[in-house]
Amino acid sequence: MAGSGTAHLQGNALLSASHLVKTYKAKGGRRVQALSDVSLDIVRGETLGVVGESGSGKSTLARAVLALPKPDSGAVQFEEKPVFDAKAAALRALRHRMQMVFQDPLSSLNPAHRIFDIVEMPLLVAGRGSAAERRRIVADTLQSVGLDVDIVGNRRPYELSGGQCQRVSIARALVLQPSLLVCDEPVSALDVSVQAQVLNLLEDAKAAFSLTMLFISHDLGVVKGISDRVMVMYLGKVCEIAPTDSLYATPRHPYTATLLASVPSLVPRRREERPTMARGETPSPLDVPSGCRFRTRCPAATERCAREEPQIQNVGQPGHFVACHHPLAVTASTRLS
Amino acid sequence: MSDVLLEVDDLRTYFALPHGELRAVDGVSFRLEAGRTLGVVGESGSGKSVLARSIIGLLPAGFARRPAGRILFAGRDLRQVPESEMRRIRGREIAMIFQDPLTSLNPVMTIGRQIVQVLRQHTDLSTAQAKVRAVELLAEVGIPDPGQRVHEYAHRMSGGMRQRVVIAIALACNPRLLIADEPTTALDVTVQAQILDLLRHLQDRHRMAMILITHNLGVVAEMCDEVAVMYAGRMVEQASVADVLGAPRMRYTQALLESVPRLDSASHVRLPVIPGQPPNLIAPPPGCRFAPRCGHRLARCDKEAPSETDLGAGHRFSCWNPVEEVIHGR
Ligand SMILES: Nc1ncnc2c1ncn2[C@@H]1O[C@H](COP(=O)(O)OP(=O)(O)OP(=O)(O)O)[C@@H](O)[C@H]1O
Ligand SMILES: Nc1ncnc2c1ncn2[C@@H]1O[C@H](COP(=O)(O)OP(=O)(O)OP(=O)(O)O)[C@@H](O)[C@H]1O
Ligand code: SF4
Ligand code: SF4
Ligand SMILES: [Mg+2]
Ligand SMILES: [Mg+2]
Repeated sequence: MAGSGTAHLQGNALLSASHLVKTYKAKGGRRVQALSDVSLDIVRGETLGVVGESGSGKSTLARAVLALPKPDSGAVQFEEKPVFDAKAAALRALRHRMQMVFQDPLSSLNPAHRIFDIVEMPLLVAGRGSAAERRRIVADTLQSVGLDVDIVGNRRPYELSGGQCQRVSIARALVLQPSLLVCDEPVSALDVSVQAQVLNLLEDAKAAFSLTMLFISHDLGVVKGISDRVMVMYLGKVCEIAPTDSLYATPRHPYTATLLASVPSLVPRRREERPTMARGETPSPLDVPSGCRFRTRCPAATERCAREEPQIQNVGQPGHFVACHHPLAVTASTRLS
Repeated sequence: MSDVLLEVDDLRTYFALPHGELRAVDGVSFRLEAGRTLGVVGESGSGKSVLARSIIGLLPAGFARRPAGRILFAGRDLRQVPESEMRRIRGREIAMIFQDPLTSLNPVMTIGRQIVQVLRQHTDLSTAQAKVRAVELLAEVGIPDPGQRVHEYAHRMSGGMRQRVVIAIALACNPRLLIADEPTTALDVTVQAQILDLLRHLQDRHRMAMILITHNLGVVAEMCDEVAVMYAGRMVEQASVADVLGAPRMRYTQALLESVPRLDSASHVRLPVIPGQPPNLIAPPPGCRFAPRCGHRLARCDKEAPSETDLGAGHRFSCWNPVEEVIHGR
């Protein structure tokens, strides 16, 4: 299988997902394999960034590790416990320890509820504390995201800015003191100036709450800033996974190199020749190419790439794994980007 | 400077609300020469789209129909032009790519028919000739198999292909000015790179001027000759792309540049932030509009709107306590 395998797993992880497969039904009885044998693990205190273009399966992955809903197959271990086999009560307890922040801050918050109630809700559901204790916890958590309960507590989401709403979502996710935070495009809907505020806040929360993070974004700059390791996805598969600096300095998968070369830099270079880009666009997920799924756009594709799906393998540098038959040489990839 | 195609002077576009006027665009001036690209950047709500729509005379209901100020296009004030003539100018001389990519194409008409319709409206081509031209246009914007694709509906195409169609329609009549409002924001980064390449290539070929609206400073760096930075309805700094990105003087421009996460910056480094939020445009701060968020504010900034400093060579900014001038060794 292209982009499959588990060679990159580290062991001794807080969260470990293996062989996740998720298929959606599409129109006309066809099926989309949104996640196709994806494995990953995250050690305690680590932030794993996930990048990839639209439709690569990032959101499906985020939901799958939280069993929201369970994928078709695969397994997830969290704090040494299997997530998918857990009974309802045990799963609920596990879910308190793994929380999620979504992209659209406004639509993920109930517009009819006051901010105080939104942040208090997980405590009520979990049956935590007296009313007075809950009040204190909500106030403290809001404060930790830079909001004052006396100012925003009685407001409703539409009375706050996008950045403030995202702070409320983060407070709601933190109020039960989870150990894992899954963030799906948490700053994509925000302006850069506000984006920086929220990214700093996530770093602070990570330290204050000893969090481990799965951080999803299509923005390679944002992911670089926050991640210890980064995983690149394409059409439901893992292409490359490596320590952040290693991945950005020496991408070894042609798709990663293409992505990095496509990001406009802040250096004016009008009318300059661009490096050769991947041709075309992502193929339809209903009709994925045989062998390596990137081969229809890959400048390095050979006949073998159509026949055989590449397995994830180490490429020399420590912790640097690639699913490609012809990984870029370190110098060639540097030239490409 | 004789080649000025568009000259906008003290443009004010206000939106009437029950409790006051929202000053979406509030005293904007700039010029654009033929064949050049001006980038307009700024946060959400800073007035970029309203500025664009003011120029082509397509403002949403609720805005004063004629903004105040002057919009000289090829020597004529577009504010004085009758609506029928404006409709002609909009198709033939100024084209616009709108921010929302889904609303700009008709879902129940093939893309070929949409292009033919535009051509029939604005040129003397017969239907048969327009059909041939439609296929040529699709080929020109890089749509594979254009002879087949003219019969497609937009909703069956990918975002990137749809944006190519939108560009084909905008360029159908060889406009002298193209206004592109966030033309790549909804696209994946590899597709964005392709569309930017396409726009650059078409612009060189047709020698058109372009106003490129974006919040992405990287897109500006790759595409523009000049850049204007908008904040709360005002243009706070304008200069060549090299000066805005490399030697900004106004404090908001500086802060905006610093808060962008870059591919070449280190991980886990605190990003400099701009605290707070943009002001309410119904009752903007009396002095500098950025003052409530500015780390370099002086007492004067709260009271008095900064006057514009003109450094020459097209570099202008409004700030009482600007960034020190850097001696560039570029
Ligand atoms: N509920 C669903 N029903 C059918 N197909 C779906 C559903 N959710 C996702 N898909 C499909 O699964 C694939 C992966 O989607 P997913 O949302 O995980 O991608 P993503 O990487 O998060 O993309 P984006 O960057 O656009 O958020 C896509 O082809 C998508 O169309
Ligand atoms: N139809 C409208 N009705 C009322 N106010 C509007 C309307 N369109 C725009 N505005 C207001 O005018 C101001 C400028 O809006 P504009 O759309 O030009 O911003 P923008 O810079 O294009 O933002 P974005 O980056 O989000 O597209 C904002 O305060 C906005 O709320
Ligand atoms: S070289 Fe082959 S295996 Fe590697 S990315 Fe290209 S097509 Fe896939
Ligand atoms: S005028 Fe004053 S408040 Fe405004 S940007 Fe300059 S220093 Fe800051
Ligand atoms: Mg998603
Ligand atoms: Mg806009």
